[in-house]
Amino acid sequence: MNKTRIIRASVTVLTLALAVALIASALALYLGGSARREAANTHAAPPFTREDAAQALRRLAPLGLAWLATLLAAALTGILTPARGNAPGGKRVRMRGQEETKKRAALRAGLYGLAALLVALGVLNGGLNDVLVKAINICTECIGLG
Amino acid sequence: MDKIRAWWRRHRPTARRLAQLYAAVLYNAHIRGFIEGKIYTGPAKAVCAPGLNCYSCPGAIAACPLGALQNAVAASASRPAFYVVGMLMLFGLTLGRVICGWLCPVGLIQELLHRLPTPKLKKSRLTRALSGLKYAVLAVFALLIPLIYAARRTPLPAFCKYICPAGTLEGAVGLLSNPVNADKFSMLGGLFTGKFVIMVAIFAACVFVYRAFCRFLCPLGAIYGLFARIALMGVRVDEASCTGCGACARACPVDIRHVGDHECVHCGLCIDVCPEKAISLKAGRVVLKGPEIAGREGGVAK
Repeated sequence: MNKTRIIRASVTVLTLALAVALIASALALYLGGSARREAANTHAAPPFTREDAAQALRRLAPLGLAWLATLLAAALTGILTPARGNAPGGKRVRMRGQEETKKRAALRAGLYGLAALLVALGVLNGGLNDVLVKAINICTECIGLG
Repeated sequence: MDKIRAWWRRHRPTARRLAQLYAAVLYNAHIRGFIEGKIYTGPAKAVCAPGLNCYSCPGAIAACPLGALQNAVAASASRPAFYVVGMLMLFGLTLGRVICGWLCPVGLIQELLHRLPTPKLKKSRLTRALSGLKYAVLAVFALLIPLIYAARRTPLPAFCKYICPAGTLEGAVGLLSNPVNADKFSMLGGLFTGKFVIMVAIFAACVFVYRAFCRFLCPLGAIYGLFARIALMGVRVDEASCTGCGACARACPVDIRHVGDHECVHCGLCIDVCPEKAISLKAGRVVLKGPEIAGREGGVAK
């Protein structure tokens, strides 16, 4: 088994293992914390604590470091995989041309006008302010905290 | 020293990769936010960034267009979503899915993950069918559910809440990794667990499937794909030179039927692969990137 195959196999196995370990840790933290709450008969205590999360990360650290080490080995040996399509051969497909025609340019210009109008109307009706108000407050639901 | 130079020549970032990096850094340029564990609250957040970037990231300086759209739809009972729709139209008309290929931080993360040397899932009829899923995600999670909840006067950005990996990575992990936000751990529960699992699964899939999130789940890519035939910028085929060999479609890592269609992320790989030099990246009539005489390493996207 040559070096390239060893590194490829290591990266594959470690990537899958790390993904599974992260998912399992998250589930274990949540279920463990929830069980603690049920046992203590208190719903005020959170299922996650920072200490639990730090402990879980410490347990995962060796796996994470091993993964990073294989990535480094892959990068240094030049076997990072560029994106490719399928193998050559297969049916012929004539591509649609997309010349910049006057019709296309005119349609685009019209839509630009409509877009500019919508933006202006949005500024006037307070839509811009709505975006700002939402964006400057942490959306706890959106980031899973809520 | 020569070995290092040779290594750098083989691995130096392309213009597209640099654009992706610059965009990711620019969208998250509020460095103080990472240090202080707080999000930016300045006026720039009234403007949407073109790519997917959670505005709850401590570094984010602009609003996320998808989050803004869902919130605008959720509030549409009291105020039509003119501003966000107008901004999306401007981005779509100007850049289309060039945003996906060149200006999206989540696209960058997916491509970097895909560089890991593992077995890869080739595109097929299955991946082609799955690429339609993002339109369903757009319709249901980004539009329908927020509209339903708008009628109940309870805003619910469903894609952000239940699916978006950018929110979990940039927002949740970004904020919680700062000790200042230790109190927010008490807010973690089933929702965060579910989103974390989804995020890990999506990024793991991206290692084995090129741009798995972009191709199969991203509603923003679905929106910009609608502008594919009309966008000012993108890869274009010179029909007169095209012989229909299909090399471009086969070499393409995503599920296109035609170069520049709604699945194309305008990475430019086809430009170097085309034997007739019929493809180029254009902005209107201006050629931004034409075919190279000596193609890169067998025409691989970097």
